[in-house]
This record gives sequence, structure tokens and C-alpha cells, in this order.
Amino acid sequence: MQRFFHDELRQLRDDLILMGERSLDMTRLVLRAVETGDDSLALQVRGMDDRVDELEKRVDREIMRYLTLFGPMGSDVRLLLAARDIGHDLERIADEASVIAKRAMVISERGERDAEIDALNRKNYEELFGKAGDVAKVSASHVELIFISKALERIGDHSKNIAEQVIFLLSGEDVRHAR
Amino acid sequence: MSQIMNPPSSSRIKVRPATEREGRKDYISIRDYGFWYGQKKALEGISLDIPERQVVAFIGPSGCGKSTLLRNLNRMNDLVDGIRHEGDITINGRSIYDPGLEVISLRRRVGMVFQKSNPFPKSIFENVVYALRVVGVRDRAVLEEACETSLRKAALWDEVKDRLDDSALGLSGGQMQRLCIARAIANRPEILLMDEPCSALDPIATGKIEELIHELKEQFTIVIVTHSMQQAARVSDRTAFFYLGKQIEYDTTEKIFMNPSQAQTEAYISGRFG
Repeated sequence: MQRFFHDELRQLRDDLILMGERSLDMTRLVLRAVETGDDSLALQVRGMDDRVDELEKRVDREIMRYLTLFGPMGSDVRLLLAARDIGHDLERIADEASVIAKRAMVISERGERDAEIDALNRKNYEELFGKAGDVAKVSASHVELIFISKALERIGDHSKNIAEQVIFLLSGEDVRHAR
Repeated sequence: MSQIMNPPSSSRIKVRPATEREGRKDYISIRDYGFWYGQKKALEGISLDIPERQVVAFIGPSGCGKSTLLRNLNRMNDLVDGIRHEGDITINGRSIYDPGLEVISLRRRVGMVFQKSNPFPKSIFENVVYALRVVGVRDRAVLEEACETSLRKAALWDEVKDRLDDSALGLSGGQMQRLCIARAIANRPEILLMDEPCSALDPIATGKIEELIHELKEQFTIVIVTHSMQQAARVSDRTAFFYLGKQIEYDTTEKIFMNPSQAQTEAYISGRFG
């Protein structure tokens, strides 16, 4: 029998999917911003972060409300636990996209001044990178790109976490930390 | 699982928390209300407002006064010797103790469903239309329509439509309780009082009654006394917690169960009481 309060689980799932779509949109947009150097795209991404933060809070509230009021059992409990983790990972993805947007704007701002800045800061970069790389080729923008790549790696980590939670949701199997 | 993974549907029913459904006018108003059985004070200083078309749950340990308060709402306790009260209860602005108000008409407006289903030893049809017959309705077509409407509202029609002339005593416990709800709403009350309506029912029958309460609140203001905190949490918009005849806390159900203001309420709902 479908009960009236099961509608709230559908609402929760829909909010989670909405969060996922927003985070995905932000990631796609910000990669295009990096690729094309289009500042307006980066700005747009930074403006989207608040909405995801709000959705995370709403999802958390919905989870707590359901756990407290409706005595969930079985797969409903798994959905609530998985939703909490997935919501957190999606919010982190949106944060990383926002960080990338910020870095992309820095690259774009530097633009043609890159060479000049390189000259001024070369000494710092030598200290930073030692002899490991070809110091002459490292520019301020390259450093931003390194941060961007690190943020992308973290987005990958969060995506993997979400995939693990989806396996848990569907099968009940905990595949985290598997070797 | 398909229910979990289906894409969002724009036609889904949106459930709004009770807090978002505020803004309704108060319908039942209880003010500084006290009540005695002889020398024994059963209720003291009760003040709460019940908005129209919401479900309000009364919870608290045995003897806390929740059933006494419920029975005062349609003056059922008038039948007990040696009772007296202080303060007032108004329904839609009019005192239930107004000397010009007939108790019979009050009880017509405020229907009641009891803990143990109590169908009359008559047919299903006669049970539902009993109150209408008492007030003199004789037109068969009117009675039949009232019977079908009430049984449909009580989510029992499909199960009994082919055996309306069978004895009501042959129904299952859950069906009997829904029949009593149909009988209570056939008289078109404005308020439904429910005194532990599910305590004698299995989880499936309980689920059906709870679904019914959720649907009936579109039309009726419902006050339910329950020992099951899970039930209060599931079905009500507002909850009042009573202890030793006093109102400890009254707020939205979400507030009472998620973050109550009073330590006694927190202790009770988390099973740490006593």
C-alpha cells in the first residue's frame, strides 16, 4: 500500500536529482569557460552555487523530517542515508566547480599580462617548483590550471562516492573502501 | 525500487509540511480550561487553538487528561455525575456551554469515533444512515445517497457495496472501525473526534484508517487521541502533549517531534519519561 507520506520521499528524490542536474550543469559550464576563456560563463557558474547550497539544506531537512515523523524501514532507510551522503557530495562538486570558475577568471584577467607577471614572479615559482620542472615554461596561468586540475580530480572523487551510494541504495551492498 | 529511480513527474502531488499550511483560522478555541470529576481535578489551565481542517493529536501518558479534554469538546462528559468546569471552549466563535445551544446539535456538529468499534447489531446500510433516521430522514433515495457518499469517504464502499444488507457485525475489525467513521460522517459533522481509533487494529487496517484521516481533513477538523507517538507524528499537523492534567506543550507536529521546547516533551517522545 502506498501511503500519503511516501510522497515526501518522491519530493526528496526529486530535490536530489535537481541538485545533481545543477552540479552537472555547473561542471559542464565551467569546463567550457576554461576552454573558451569566456568570463560570463564563469560568472554564471559562481552565481549557481548558492542554489545548490540551499538545496542541500532542504534535502537535509527533508531527511530529518522523514526519519523523525514517519518511521522508515527497509529501502526507505537506505534512500535516506544515501541521500544524505549524495547531497553532501553534490554540494562539494558544486563548490569545486565554483573554485574552477574563480581560477578561470583569474587566468582570463591575466590574459596578455601573463608574460610580464611571469617575469616578476619567476623567482617565486623557482622556489615553488624547485628543479622538478621546466621553470621557464611555468606561467601564472599554469599554476591556476594545476589548481583546476586538482579540483577536477576532487569532482571525480565525489562522483565515485555518489556511484558507491547508488550501489548501496539499489542493492544494500557497501562497496566503499573496496580493494 | 522503480519508485525510487523514476524520473521526477510534474504531475506529482506536492506534500507541504504543516508549517507551510498555516494561516487557517482557528476553529476550536480552548481558553483557561479546567475540569473536575467530583473532587478530582482532571484538567488545569488548558489553552489551545485548533485551526480548521487540520489534524490535531493529543498525546501523553495514561491519566494525563487527553481523553477527558477530547470528550469535553462535544460535552460527552456531561453524562458523568459530579463534573464541573472552568474556562471556556468555543467552536467557530460560539461557546459550547452557551445556554442557548442544544447539546444534541453540538454533537451533530462534533462526531466521535471510539477506541473500540461499536457498530449497532443492524445491517451495514442501517448503521450508516442511523443518525439520519433519528433526525427524521425517510426518503430512501436520500438515505441511499448518504450511505454511498459516507462509505466512499470512509474508503469502505468498494468492500461492502454488494452486501449493504448484511449484518455489520460480520465485518473485520478494520472494516467495522471504518464503518463507524462512515456513520459519524453521514451526519455531516464539522469536527471529528477520534479516541484511539486504531489501538485495536492490525498495521494494515491502521494504515487504512490513517490514510482516511489524511483524506478526511480536506473536509473536517479532526482531533485524535493516540498512545502511538508514531501515529501522532504521521497523521497530525499539530500535537499537544499533556501530563497530569496540564498542557505541557502545543505546537506543530514537526516542532514537537523534531525539536520540542520543553524538556518533559523531549523526554516523553524519546522514551525517557518516568
